[in-house]
Amino acid sequence: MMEKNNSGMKKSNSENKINRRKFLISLGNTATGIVVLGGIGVTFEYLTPNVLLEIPKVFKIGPINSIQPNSVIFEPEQRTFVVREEQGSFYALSAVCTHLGCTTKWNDIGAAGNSAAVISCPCHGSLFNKYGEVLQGPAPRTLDKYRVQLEDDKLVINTGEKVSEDEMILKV
Amino acid sequence: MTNEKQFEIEISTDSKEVPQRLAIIPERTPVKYELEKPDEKLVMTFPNLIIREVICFQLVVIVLALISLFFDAPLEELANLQNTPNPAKAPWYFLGLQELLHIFPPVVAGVLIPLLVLIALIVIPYFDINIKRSGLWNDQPKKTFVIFSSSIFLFFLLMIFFDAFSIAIPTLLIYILAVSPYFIKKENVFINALAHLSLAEWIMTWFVFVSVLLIIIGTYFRGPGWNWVWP
Amino acid sequence: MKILNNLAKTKFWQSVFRTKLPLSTNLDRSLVIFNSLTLHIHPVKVRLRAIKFSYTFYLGMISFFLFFVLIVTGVLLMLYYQPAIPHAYRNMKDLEYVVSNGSFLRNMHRWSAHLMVISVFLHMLRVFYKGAYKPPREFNWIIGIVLLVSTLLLSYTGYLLPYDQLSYWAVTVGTNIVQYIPVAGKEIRFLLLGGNEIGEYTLVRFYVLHCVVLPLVMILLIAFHFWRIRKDGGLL
Repeated sequence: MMEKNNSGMKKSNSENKINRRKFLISLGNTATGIVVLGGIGVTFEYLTPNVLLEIPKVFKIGPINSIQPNSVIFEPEQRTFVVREEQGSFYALSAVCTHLGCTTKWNDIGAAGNSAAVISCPCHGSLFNKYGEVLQGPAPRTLDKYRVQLEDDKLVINTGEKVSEDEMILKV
Repeated sequence: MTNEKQFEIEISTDSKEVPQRLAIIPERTPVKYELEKPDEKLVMTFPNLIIREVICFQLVVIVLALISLFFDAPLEELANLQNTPNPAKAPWYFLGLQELLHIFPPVVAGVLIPLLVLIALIVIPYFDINIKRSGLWNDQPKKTFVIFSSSIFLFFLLMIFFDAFSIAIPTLLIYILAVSPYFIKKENVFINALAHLSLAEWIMTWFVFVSVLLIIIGTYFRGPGWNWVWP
Repeated sequence: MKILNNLAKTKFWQSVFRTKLPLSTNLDRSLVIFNSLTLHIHPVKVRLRAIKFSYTFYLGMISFFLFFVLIVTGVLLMLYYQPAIPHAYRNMKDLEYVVSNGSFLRNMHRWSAHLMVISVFLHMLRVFYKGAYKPPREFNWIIGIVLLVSTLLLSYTGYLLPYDQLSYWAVTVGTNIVQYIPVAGKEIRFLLLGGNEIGEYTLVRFYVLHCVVLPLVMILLIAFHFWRIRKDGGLL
């Protein structure tokens, strides 16, 4: 019994035993793998710029007294609509279409069967209402809304901070 | 012929002693090994082919030079982030894709459909059905008709659901052409030609027809706000 | 002709071309082909039927020649082009109004690019309907598909380079499609643009892709494509 077991162990041992050839092969494969992965990683990191020459995310607009009620200011640099409604409530909407990133246009007189003011995208025909909700077209979601805050008598809009519908309006 | 070797047939169950040889003869010669017709006429490459290449190159350059003299490449004003031109159109070969983007959600139109087209194109030569290229109605026409019609019908409904009439209507046209050999038993050149087309050829024809149509629609029939206009 | 014949007898000519003029035998004609680096992709003899216009419409050949024209005109255009944001567009205006024959070369580059897209596509259709993709040509068909895709990519990356309204919005829409790729869409877009919006980095990236990376890929694949045609048994 013992002998039989021993010989069995020996056999499996010699199969699993790492000899010099196997060791060198796996060493070579591992080294190649590390170099390839490392190369890819380094290249990807290199291709991702750390400093972007893009416009700042926070901008100011105002003084608020100079903004007419029921009016829209289009901030071209940031591609943002800043809207003042009658009661002195403000909100900021992104002008970038959520479909494929074209710059939308504000139409006060309405378009395509809508009498109220609409925001229309020229690329694929999406239409939004003045709160950025999708009326028609291929746009998958509402326009982004940005946080608006009051600082002295000016509005501070942070395009880096997207807010939900409930938080979007700033009452003054 | 006196030196002819003598072969003996040995039969044994021990494969080490008598290795067995097996020959498999296919029923039909696979396409791969079909020989070229031996009586085909060969000509010297130089000058026959070379002169054709040179003339072809000259014609290409002449035609290009003429086009370039009379038609100017478009150049609009400097790129302006604030002002999207209305309508904003991609280069013509992507207008089909842009038309799809107008119809379907972006993941479908921009990623899924191009990927499927690419995969479909790549698998063509590995797609065994197509290698023999028998006509669509060659065997089991009734079964083919039921499967073919129902799948086209489902596809048609799907397109109608998405309001994609620019895909649904050409699909219907191609379908009518494809099934016409099944109904019209009269033999004429046109019907015979249709009956010879295989499924893969029908799919390719459909694909080309739809993409050309979408490109034409995108180029000439889309105005401001991507609305339908007449050219 | 006489000058040519005399020239062909010089030691220099024979050291370059190896073939003696005038060609009188079929052996001489064969030697023209296989003594030449550029011509030896051809077999010495071809099937008469295969070289008729009505057989292939010479679409592959036409695509290759268009590619050749594109490289020549492209290299010339590069000499007046800087991939930087105000410069790129100004260079286009210069090509149009200041540089002699600038607009002619730009037209030629642009139109051959469009024609190449058409001819490559038609070439694919011809190969499909003739069944010329069947075994053993399966892999060459795939190479052809990759060539079609690279042609489209080349055309698309070149589209941004003038940096006018047309190119800017076409590329905006195109790169925003990339965003919808599942899992890594946003990251791929960021890498492609070198930022969140199209800018300086994007222009340089597209320039490098258009002028170096994609043409290199294209040239290698074309060479492979041609080689496979021979290995797979010639034109069909």
